[in-house]
Amino acid sequence: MINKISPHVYWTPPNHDTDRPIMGAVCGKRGVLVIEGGNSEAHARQFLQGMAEARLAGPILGVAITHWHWDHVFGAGVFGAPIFASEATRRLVAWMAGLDWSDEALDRRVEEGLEIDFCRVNLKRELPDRTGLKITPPNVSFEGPATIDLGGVTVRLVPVGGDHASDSTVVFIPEDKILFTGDCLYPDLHHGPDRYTTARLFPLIDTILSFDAEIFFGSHQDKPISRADMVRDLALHKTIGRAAESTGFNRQAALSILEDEIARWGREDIEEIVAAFIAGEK
Amino acid sequence: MNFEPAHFNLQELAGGVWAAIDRSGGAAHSNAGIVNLGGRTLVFDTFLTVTAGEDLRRAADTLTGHQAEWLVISHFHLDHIGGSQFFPFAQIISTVETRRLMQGELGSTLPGWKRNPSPVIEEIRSMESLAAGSPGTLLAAGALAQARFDRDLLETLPDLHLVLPDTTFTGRLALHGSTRSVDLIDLSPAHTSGDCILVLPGERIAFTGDIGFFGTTPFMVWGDPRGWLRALDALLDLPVDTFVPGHGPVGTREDVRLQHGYVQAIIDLVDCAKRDRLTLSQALALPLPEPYESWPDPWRGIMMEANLGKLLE
Repeated sequence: MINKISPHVYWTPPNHDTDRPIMGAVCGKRGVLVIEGGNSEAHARQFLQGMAEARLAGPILGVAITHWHWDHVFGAGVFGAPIFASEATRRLVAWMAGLDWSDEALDRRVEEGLEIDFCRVNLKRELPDRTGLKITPPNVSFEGPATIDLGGVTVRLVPVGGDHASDSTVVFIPEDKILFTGDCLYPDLHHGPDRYTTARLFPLIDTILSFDAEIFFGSHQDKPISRADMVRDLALHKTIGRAAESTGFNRQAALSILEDEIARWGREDIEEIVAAFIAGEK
Repeated sequence: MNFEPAHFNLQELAGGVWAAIDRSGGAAHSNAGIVNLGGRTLVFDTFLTVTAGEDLRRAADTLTGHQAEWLVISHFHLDHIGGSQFFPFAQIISTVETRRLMQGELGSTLPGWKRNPSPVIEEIRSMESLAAGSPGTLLAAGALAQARFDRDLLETLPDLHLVLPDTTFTGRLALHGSTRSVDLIDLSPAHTSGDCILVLPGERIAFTGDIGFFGTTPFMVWGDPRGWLRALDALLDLPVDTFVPGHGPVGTREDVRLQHGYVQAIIDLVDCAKRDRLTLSQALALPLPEPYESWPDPWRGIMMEANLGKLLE
């Protein structure tokens, strides 16, 4: 089932069972740009089926990838269209395409700390048989922003980086005021405990809010959020980051000056974010 | 090749990489390029006229066996985009600024010229008159060359459709096929405020668009001379030995250095003319340093007048 959210933008929700991210389609008079490749051929084909059921007209002119992680990339080749990504993403996907994806190799990489268990578990669930797995690297790569005119609607691909993946790109549809943030606002999950750094997250927050967007999609959130909610959420992250920084990344001291936020948003969430800033500093 | 292009000569620079060089007397009026990336064909620029552009499409199809998937536009001038309409299945790529200029400058000028081409007809008359006034001179040869350019433009105008780039970039964009990759690099401002070049690092080849004018006087009316020097320096910093200019024959690093010297000479001349408050005709009488003063280039008189007229404003 594909959902329409604006005159030109459609999306499918994530599926947490196998870590399928949100996918999107931007439809113009010339054709369609798909956002994210999906985490498998099956995921990509499910999206194609949703497009067909919604009678989305026009050829697929491209697939935009937000970053190199498997769940955003593995289905991209299914669309048979140019794959757009930052040059950093292209290099990482090309490297990933040369890896051994057997159970043994995956287990070994987890043991060596090169992969995380969360990805291994979801990958094995989504793709129990990975023989013949073909990972298609992007064939249009950019270092600065790139814009694609789909006819009556444009898509801007802007590399932004961040803690989660340094190659992160966001996808902005200015005519519909929609921003797909991919995973860029999530912490780094790949180097021990979840990590945020004020050095990366704070400028990223400013960049995200500089887009004239009213609707924001995070790749693993169940639904999009409004600008007001995004501003509130990001302001909270900044408040927590500043509290951690101003207390020398001392957990108790930081939490003690976040009492108002804890009362309002709940202790668990605030503690989690404080812990991520402390981990990021180490 | 099953056909011989009428308007340009094809020069294979490496396996699957061709320069399409403007043929004297043809209707191309600039250079273009064809690159087989392995399963994907790229075309760089599309000449002035629809007839030359159609020939370029046929050449690309025949040489590579594929329809072009990517068409790169180096800058917005008509002599580089006239055949773009013959690549309907290609993704057209340019800098953000080139698309803006195509929409703004050409979008406002071209429809008017198509309805009423009198400015073009007027320039043809003016150039023919100039040639008649100084027969046998380089100036006359240049005026006749300009008149022929304008006649070809006049002839192509009714069939010419402005096709805007659909993918734009700033900085750098790379395109990857199964056998090679190419880099598109925004080197503006130089010849215009939106120039991009195409580099094949593996083959040490660059298609420079009109940042490169080899053996012929550069058209500098839309340019930024100091930015142009920086762009030429950037070309010399690339790991490239073979340069395909927008105008003139395929060249080497020496040709890039020569052009750098020319642009510097024009900057010096303009600075001198401004300092001494010279009129345009006085500035035009100033000699250029050698080897530029002795260039047997028919475009020199016409271009110098246009360039200095603009740069002295």
